[in-house]
Amino acid sequence: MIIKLKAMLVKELKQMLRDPKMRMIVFVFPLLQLMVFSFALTMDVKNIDIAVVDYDRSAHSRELTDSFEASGYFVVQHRPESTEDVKKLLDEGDVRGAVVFPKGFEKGILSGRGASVQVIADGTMSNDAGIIMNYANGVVNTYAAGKSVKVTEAVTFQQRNLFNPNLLSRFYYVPGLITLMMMVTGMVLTSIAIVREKEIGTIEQVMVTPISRTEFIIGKTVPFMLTGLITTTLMFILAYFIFGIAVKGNIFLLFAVVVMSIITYLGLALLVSASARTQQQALLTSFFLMMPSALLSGYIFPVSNMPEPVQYFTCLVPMRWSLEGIIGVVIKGATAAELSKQLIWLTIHAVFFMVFASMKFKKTLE
Amino acid sequence: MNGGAFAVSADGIIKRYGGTCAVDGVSLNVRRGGIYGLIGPDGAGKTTMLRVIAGILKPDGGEAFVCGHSCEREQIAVKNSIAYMSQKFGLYPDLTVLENIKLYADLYGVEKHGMRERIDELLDFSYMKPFRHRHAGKLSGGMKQKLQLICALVHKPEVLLLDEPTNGVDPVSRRDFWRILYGLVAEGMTILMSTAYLDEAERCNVIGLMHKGKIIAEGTPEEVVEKSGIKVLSVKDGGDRSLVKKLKNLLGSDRVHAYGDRLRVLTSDIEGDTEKLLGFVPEAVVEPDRPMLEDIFMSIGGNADADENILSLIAGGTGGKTGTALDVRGLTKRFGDFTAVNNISLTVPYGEIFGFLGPNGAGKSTTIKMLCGLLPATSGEGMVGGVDIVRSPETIKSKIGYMSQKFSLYEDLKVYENIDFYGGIYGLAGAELAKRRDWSLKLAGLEDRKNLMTSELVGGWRQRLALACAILHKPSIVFLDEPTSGADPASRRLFWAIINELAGSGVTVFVSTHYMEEAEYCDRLALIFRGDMIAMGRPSELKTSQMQDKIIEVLTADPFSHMEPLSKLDGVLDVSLFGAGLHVRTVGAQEINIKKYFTDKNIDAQVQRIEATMEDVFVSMIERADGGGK
Repeated sequence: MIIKLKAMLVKELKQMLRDPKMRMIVFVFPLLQLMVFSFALTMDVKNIDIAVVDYDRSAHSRELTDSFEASGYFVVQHRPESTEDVKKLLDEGDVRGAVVFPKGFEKGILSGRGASVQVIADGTMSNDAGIIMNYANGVVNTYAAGKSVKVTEAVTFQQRNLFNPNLLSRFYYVPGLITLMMMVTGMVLTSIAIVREKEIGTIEQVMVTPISRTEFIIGKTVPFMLTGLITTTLMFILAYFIFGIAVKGNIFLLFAVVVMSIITYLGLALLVSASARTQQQALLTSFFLMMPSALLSGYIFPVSNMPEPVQYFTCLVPMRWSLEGIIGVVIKGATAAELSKQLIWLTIHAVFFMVFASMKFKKTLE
Repeated sequence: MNGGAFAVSADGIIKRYGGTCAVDGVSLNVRRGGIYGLIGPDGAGKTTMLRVIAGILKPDGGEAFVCGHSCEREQIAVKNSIAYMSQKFGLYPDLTVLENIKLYADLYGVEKHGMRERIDELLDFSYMKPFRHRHAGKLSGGMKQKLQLICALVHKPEVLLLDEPTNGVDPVSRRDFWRILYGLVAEGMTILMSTAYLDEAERCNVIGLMHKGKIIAEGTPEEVVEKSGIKVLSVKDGGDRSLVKKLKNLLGSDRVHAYGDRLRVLTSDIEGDTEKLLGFVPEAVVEPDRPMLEDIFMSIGGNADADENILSLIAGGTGGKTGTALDVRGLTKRFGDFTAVNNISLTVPYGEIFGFLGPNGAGKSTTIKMLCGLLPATSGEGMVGGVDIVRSPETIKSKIGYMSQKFSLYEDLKVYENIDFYGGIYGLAGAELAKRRDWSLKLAGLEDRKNLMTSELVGGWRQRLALACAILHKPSIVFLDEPTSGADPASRRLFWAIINELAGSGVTVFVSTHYMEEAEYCDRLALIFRGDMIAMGRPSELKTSQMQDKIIEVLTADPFSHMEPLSKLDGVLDVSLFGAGLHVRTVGAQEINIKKYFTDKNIDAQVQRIEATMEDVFVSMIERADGGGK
């Protein structure tokens, strides 16, 4: 058993790591992607280009416009004559929002009756639009407080952000990206592991040897497990040094989550590989599996916002549990007891996919 | 449309790969309307030459011309005048025969006008019309080869370049393929081909014998044989398998080789050696024979260095068992409603070499895979190595060795890493593994190349390494599925010497092959056709008692032109190319009619009744089973 396993492991590792291109794909690509995505993909909205339509042309309207600019969130790019032009600017994507001062704005403030200002946001990116409205609200409220005047429809709101007080999105996105990269590299590489041998024909020779199904599957899993662990560790180190994201919770707990997640992805990928006839089929299948996984995991759209039946369905999405587990340990410093639900679900996934994959792998041709 | 009398000419072609010189200053000229055959051991540079001429490989020196166009500078003109069929040609398995042809027609920019007629003509000519709506992936090996040829011919090229086109193709399909080639030549096409089959080489107008990147002999096959000055004695004996070894000891190993049911001895002293041989084996029939290309080939050595050291590795290498190795009854395999193997029963003792013959797709590989436990049988029962094949196919796997038709070692591992891997999964470790590793490297002749990537191995070495890995664990039953396909004659002979030794040490060897002379080396043969076993017996039985038709050999100039008229004579079943001549299969002895045909026409021809060769038997039995003949 040990001899056979060792032979499998040595062979798999040599095949995987001999080719410099493969080494790049296994170790360097995930790190590069983590860097690029972390810098590029941010939900912090800054320097929003806006247009200002000032029908009032008063000192107060200019003052509030300055406040918008001074906030750092907005840049006034255009000052069109009428709201008609705003629509055009929005359509062409020149601005993402607009502020409209109606006639009588200053009068309203001075008379103490209150004044209103219209904020328009490009609703095509609903997330951004929400953020823009929030920022605008903030700016207007601050201004209004300073003038001790009521600004119509300016809702006062107060928000306290737990765990990420500065609302810096990378504290959430970077660990999430690591989870995503873990899934992508694990699944893509592993999904061709068995089917590649089928396609080249090497599997026939292995099938006539006394190696057992379990030995074969373990032999295919462990090397990817090892490289997956190494890459994930490197990604966390990178996250610490570049983004200052330290692991708040227990490092062993983190690795427990990581190991269970990787086993799950590898099991799923091996299942795909054992069922597919060609590498192309296997790769496409794993892409089609990864897409919904990422979308339903709660990484981009919170699970709690989904319709209830879909929320139940997400229990079957392994990435949901890896994500919650990793965010839990890294950002919240959660304990094993607090993450018991996530750990149990991950274990169920891991065992199910591994067993299913080794059952699906047959030592006969057909 | 110029270039004089030569359709292809190459002048001092040099091509290096890294440090090795694959082609070292080769010049050749192919006459318009002729067939030029490149032969030579694996790695002699044949494929490289063809690629240079096809304009897909840039030579490091020299220049090649096709119809007067430079292959390097006028690639478009060259590509329009040639068709090149590489060893790995691209057919789209999901497209039908017709769709594949149309695709190639479009790729070559064949005009729509007349395309239909051209395709019909090609389909008729190749007898492929009934299969035009079949998916290419579902064709048999021989038909795939024909389809590739049709695709290559669709744009009416002037020159056809073929790189070992008939590798792994059965004798019936090979005959058919050659019928097409001769037809093309009759229409004025020029053919330049490489081949591993020397009987095909005998049919070429001119052959070039390549060795280590050089043409070492050139001319008509007769000239090449004559110029070599080789004389040959053929020795026929009762079928003592160890005789070849004994004679090698007596006369030197490079002078004796097996060919079919005879041994051939290269000699310079006919009388002296006859005496010597008869003194050694008095009961043998020793007679001078016409030298063949095969003999020339063996005299240059080639890559394989068959020697006693390699063979002595086998002796005692596996436990000598006696009794029944394999006993199966009613073995049947169905895929959906297609019966791949129908009701095959076999009993084979230990130490026997059992051969499977049959056309491509007849069910040989399927049978072998069932016996290995790789494919579950639909019905049937039996024991392999004392283990029930239905109940415990997994247990069989530790008792057998299997070498698949397709090379299936890991090409991205080094030679020794493949051995270590298979050693490991057969449970070998430490000193034992080291011992077996050395043994395997010696057997494969790769002691100095153990660090080479497996993908870099060529021909015979690959096959010997695959065999070594398949018998690392000393199995007592070995299954070899077309182990020698595509290897050069010298490598094939060494491979068979190894098989002989294995059988001598008590191992049962199952082997399938398309080389009919190799079939003669088997103790018993089964002929499989469309899933049925249509004949079984010793090679000698198959050729005599089981062979109903008579064979008449015709040696004459331009044999192709006589095929049609001869086949119309009374009592003639079929006429086929055989080596450089014709074999006429007849119901009774029809020499008189055939001789009369030639004397009437005043054509010089040698006509004589001969004992059927294995190939005649094969074709005859297949055609009878097919309800064919005439």
